[in-house]
Amino acid sequence: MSDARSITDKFFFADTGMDSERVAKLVTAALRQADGGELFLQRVMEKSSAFSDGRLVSSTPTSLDQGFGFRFISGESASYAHSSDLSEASIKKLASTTKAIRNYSPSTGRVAVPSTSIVLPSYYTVENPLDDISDVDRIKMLEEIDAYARAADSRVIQVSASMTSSWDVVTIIRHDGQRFDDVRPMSQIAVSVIVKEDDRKEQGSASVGKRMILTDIFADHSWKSLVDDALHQATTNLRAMPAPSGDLPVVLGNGWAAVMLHESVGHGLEGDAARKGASVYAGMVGQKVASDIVTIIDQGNIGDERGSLHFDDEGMPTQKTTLIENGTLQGYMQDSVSARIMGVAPTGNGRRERYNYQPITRMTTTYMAPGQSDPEDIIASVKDGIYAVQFAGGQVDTVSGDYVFAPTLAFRIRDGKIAEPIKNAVLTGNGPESMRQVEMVGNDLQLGTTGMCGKAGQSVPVGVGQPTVKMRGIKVGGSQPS
Amino acid sequence: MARKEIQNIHDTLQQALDLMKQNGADYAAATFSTHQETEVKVRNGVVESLETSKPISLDLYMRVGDKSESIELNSRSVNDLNDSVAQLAAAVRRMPDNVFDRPVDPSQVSHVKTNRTLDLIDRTRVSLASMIQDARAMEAAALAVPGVSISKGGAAGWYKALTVSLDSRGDEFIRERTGSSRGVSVIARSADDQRTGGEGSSAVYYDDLMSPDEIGRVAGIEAVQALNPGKALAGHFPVVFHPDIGPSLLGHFASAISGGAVRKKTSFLTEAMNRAVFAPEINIIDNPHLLRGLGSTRFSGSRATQPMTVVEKGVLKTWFMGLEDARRLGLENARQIRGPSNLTIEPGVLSQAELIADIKEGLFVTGLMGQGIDLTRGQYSRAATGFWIQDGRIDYSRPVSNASISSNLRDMFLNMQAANDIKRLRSSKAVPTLRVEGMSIA
Repeated sequence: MSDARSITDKFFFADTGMDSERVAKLVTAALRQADGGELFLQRVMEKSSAFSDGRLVSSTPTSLDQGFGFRFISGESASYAHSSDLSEASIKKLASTTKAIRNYSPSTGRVAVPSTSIVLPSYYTVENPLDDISDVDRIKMLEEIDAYARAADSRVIQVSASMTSSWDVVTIIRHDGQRFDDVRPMSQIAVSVIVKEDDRKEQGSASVGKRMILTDIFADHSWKSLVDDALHQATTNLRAMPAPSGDLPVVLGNGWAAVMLHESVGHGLEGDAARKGASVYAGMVGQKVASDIVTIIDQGNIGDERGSLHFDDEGMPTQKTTLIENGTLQGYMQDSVSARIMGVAPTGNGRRERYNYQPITRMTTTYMAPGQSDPEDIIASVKDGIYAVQFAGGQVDTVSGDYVFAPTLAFRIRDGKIAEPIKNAVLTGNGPESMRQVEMVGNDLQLGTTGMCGKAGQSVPVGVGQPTVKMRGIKVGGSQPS
Repeated sequence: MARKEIQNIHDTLQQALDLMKQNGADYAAATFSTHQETEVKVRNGVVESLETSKPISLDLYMRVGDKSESIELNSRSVNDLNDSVAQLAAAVRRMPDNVFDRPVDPSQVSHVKTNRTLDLIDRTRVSLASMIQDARAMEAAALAVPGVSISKGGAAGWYKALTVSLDSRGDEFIRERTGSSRGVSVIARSADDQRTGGEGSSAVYYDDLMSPDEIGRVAGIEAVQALNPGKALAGHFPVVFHPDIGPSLLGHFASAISGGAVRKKTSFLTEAMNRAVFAPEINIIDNPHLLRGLGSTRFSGSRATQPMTVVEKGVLKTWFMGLEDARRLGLENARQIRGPSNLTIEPGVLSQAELIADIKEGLFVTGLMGQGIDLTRGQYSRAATGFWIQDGRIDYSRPVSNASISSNLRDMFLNMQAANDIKRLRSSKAVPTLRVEGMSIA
């Protein structure tokens, strides 16, 4: 990580005039009476270009967001102060205000922190994603995307395309004085099209975002394939029929459809919800919570994945955590505060959107392990049902487990074959109930290429994945009685 | 905020404008925002989190000839400012010409440059101790409701915000406001179910907040009443939206008449100007001058705001659009160029009970989940939580959960009735209880 250290040294110390030794001493001194805590320094540089309406609407200036957050943990409580002023005086002043928490929540002893090795493995590049493709070339590529989409289908009436790169530079100094440095790249290309036929308009979109430089993303995904995916979705939906209504078997496609897994199961397995009793999965470790063929994993150390981190935002190493194995709940994802209260080890899931937020339990890349079934056999096993491939997103109430999803690309399955596309289906159900009714799991695990997750007002990039999955017990709310 | 702070900000803005001019700007504008904020969270009576902050942000806008671009940064360091302006100056020159984005004609710039007359600054000193006390009181009141067993926590917050905008013509606008908020969330449990109930309040003035006891009681009752939901009947029924939920419908309407959607024709209301889009009894008003209003302001961009009727007797009277979209559509001289401020569906004459009295069967909605809105076609489908309406009254012993309700916004607006129970200061989008005929429930 010597590369990351040299980059953080420049931005946080050389450029600001702060001294790293003095800051480390300041942190350990301010947290002497704390049970734990840390200083989180961050500088995010983001470059975005966008094309819409046949013209350039943003031409890649680089925005800058920087600051620090200081956390003082006492007992089960924490005091947090943050500022965009990166100076020793400002850190010292705000750090001193955080001690007040001791008056309200007494110490319960020092947080044990793993003596993490400073030499961490490398899950993604330290290259700067802002500079590998020139601003002029980015804009040229957006023009080509626009022209390609409009030429590909005469029904295209609107094309929006964007290319965004961000470079997230982080230094954490923990209460034990240990310092962690990371530079986290993210590059994203997104395309959306609107097609019109007679009076009917439909939209399609596709995007890919990873912890890579843009050049490497283009090595795996050509922008043409993204445009083709968006066009396919939009033109397919031109032919879509009103969705049926009723309790039908649902087959979820592999890859991005796992957003449903993320919402309906993942959020309930976050340690903070579990320890507060605010999850249907609270207190159920060791119990059967899903069908035998369901194994669910959260993994924060997959190479180049958008949810991956070398260490989480508390300085804890990321790892592979099996949450549900063959249907039995193994444990939860944990940040350090929840882990300590529950008496288990942290799992590297303490994340925050930016320096102006406290870390809370968050997912990284959450996926269902592959099963035995051939995806074609899964479709063939359904007499009348729904095949849902793409979703715009969904929502869950972690307390009751109730969830709702609206697919953006879905088909009716008739007599074991994929039939007509359907529109405006709403899938509702209950997470634990749905997981108990998983009937088949495909052998075709795939990770989605995009995903942002919102919780408590904080948005972080996450990954999702799954093989093709068949389940029962989902209500399909369409406008046509089935 | 202290005079001295505003002077410091003014100096930073002037420095940024000078830099942009040195880099070739023909016109430039800069906006500096900062706020002071304190938030406390309490769970089971224990202070779980104290948070204080004073973030800043700086937005720069630069115009060279007919090309323009903007950038954001939150550093006051001279190096960062120099770098950002250099970046911006290069980016501007890559943009295509855009004549629609020219600055407002000087004759149209608002003469009023502060919001001083709108009563947006609460001088009450809200202490940390009183916020903690309020959060504990809400939690205690909620836990006192029989059947409530777990607290997810109570929170109270206070902020003071300051935004200063300055442009290269010397026009300077200052916005200052305070805000207080509090809320609580609890869980009720039965043998085989658990449900959340929550309530919150936010206001410019601390004293305008709902009382902690009331918030706690409402949250507790909501959780208990939601336990062990049954299924809603399937079919077409009247759906009644609680005043806390109805503002989402008003939000869909505001999006559908926004400049971008109208210009790109991505709204089902693109062709609706001066046509009936709501039931004839519905009036929608936007009042930027509401005293203590959460969305109040005397100016938008650099133009003066004024109250206006958006929908009169069901007929659409104006779009919400910025200057650039208005010019693209040839509407520059229209008076109503701006976004919504305090937007309300005006109250009707019936009470909530009277509005529901003739409903044989229907659904009273107290919560919505999911994002099933397609503004292009007006398609609406979401998952609703609430209570079944039977023989003219809400039957609180029949909770309903995750019922999918669907219709088209066009039909929903045309078949809408409003009760008389509006609370204008509760949100920047405020509505009374709303009844919508003929929605499909699955």
